[in-house]
Formats: sequence, structure tokens, C-alpha cells
Amino acid sequence: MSFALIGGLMVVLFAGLTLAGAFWAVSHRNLFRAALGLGAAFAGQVGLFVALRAEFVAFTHLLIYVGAVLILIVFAIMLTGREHVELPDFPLAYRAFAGFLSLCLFLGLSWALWQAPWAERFSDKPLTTAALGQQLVKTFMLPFEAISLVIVAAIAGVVVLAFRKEER
Amino acid sequence: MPVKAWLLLANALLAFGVYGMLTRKHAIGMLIALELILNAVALDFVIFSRAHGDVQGQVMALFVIALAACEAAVGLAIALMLSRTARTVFADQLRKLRG
Repeated sequence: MSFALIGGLMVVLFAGLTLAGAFWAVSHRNLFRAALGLGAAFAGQVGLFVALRAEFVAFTHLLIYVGAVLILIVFAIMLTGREHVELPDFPLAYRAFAGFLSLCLFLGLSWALWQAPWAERFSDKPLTTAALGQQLVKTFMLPFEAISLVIVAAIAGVVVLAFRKEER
Repeated sequence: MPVKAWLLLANALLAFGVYGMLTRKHAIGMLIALELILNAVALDFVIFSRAHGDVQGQVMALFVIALAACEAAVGLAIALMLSRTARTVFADQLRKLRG
């Protein structure tokens, strides 16, 4: 087996893991298992990012999503109480309608994308982490700083929200 | 894989997220679906970056990831507060602000 073939198989595998995890995450009745499906989707997406030569983004994604967001979600599920883990089912007609709407969204977006003049193949220009770092501190310096400010504000807000004494 | 196939994959992820937003009442379930939507957008940016051979798309993906982390933290804190004060996390039972 050639190297390119193995690479292609890996991409298909990761894409399948991502989609299966996403489906599990939005459709499972048990919220905890839905969160585990979300973890599978995140893991598959890390593989896709590596295949797209975005190693730094893949690493950040792994660190933030699998390492932080997923843990937070699991903690929140545990803290909000056991009676809320098993979700009541919507009526089948409602779910079918929601499925129909999201299918319409998918088909519409895909139709629009099919019309657009995309390049057939990926460009061969190298994408290095060094160039990414240069962009972050040169072209995108102001947004970068603004986002750090947003993160500080979000963390302060979370602390204020979570440690507030119960009123009354 | 051609560029369009990658973009179709991101579209499918987005559609799953929208389906989740429509069929969940639980606040954390809705947050999970929202994470999927944001992930689809980040994946789109990385695909564009690869297609154009330009690293700026990856910068955008990093920004999306950072903001999604903030959103998740604040959203989950709000869900915790809801379960503590309103004793429910289901969106249809929260009617304190209804006039």
C-alpha cells in the first residue's frame, strides 16, 4: 500500500468518526453519552486538522476542546443533577421536521458551494507554524489582544456567576 | 480528496449541530450542539487556509476556538446557576421573564 492511499484511508476514517460522533452527540437521549459522542467528534476533527496540515490548530483544538470544554460539560452534567440526564423525547413528527429543516440547510449550502468556483486541488504552498505565529503577532495583533481581553472577561464572569451566594 | 468533498463534510457537521439545536430542550444539550456548529466553522476556515495556501485561515480557526471556549465556560456557568436557582435546565420551563 502506498503512503498516499494510507493517508486517504485515515482521512476517511477520521471524517467518519467526526460525523458519527456528531450524530451521537445530537441524538442520544442520555446526555452523558451525548457528551462522549461530542468527544469522539472532537477527536476525529483533530485528525482532520492534522491531515489539513494545521498541526498547531490541531494541538490547540485537542488541548482546549478535549482537555477543557469536554471536562467542563461533563462536570456541568454531573452538577445539574441526575434527574436531568435522561432527556424526554420530542414527538417523532417534531424530530422529523427538525431533521427535514437541517437537511434543507445542508442541501442548500452544498448547492451553493457546488456552484462556487473552488480550486480542484489543494495548494502546494507550505503552511508552517512559524508563519502562523508571525501572522498572530503582526497582522492580527489587535484581534489577538482583544480576544485575550474577552477571555479574561469571560473567566471573571464565570467566577462571579458560579460563586454567587443564593439570594433570598 | 477534492476541496469540495472537505467542504461537504463541514456542511454535514453544521447540519448536525442545527438539528441538535432544534431538538434539545436541555441547556447543556443545546450547548453541545452549539459546539458542533462552531467546530464546523473552524473546520471550514482550516480548509480554506489549505486550499489557498495561506496561513491566515488557521489564525481565524484559532480565534473561533478561543471564543468557543469562552462561550462554553459562560454558558455552562449559566446552566449551573439555572439548576441552582430555577431548579430546572429545560428551556421550556424557564418562564420567569415571561410577561
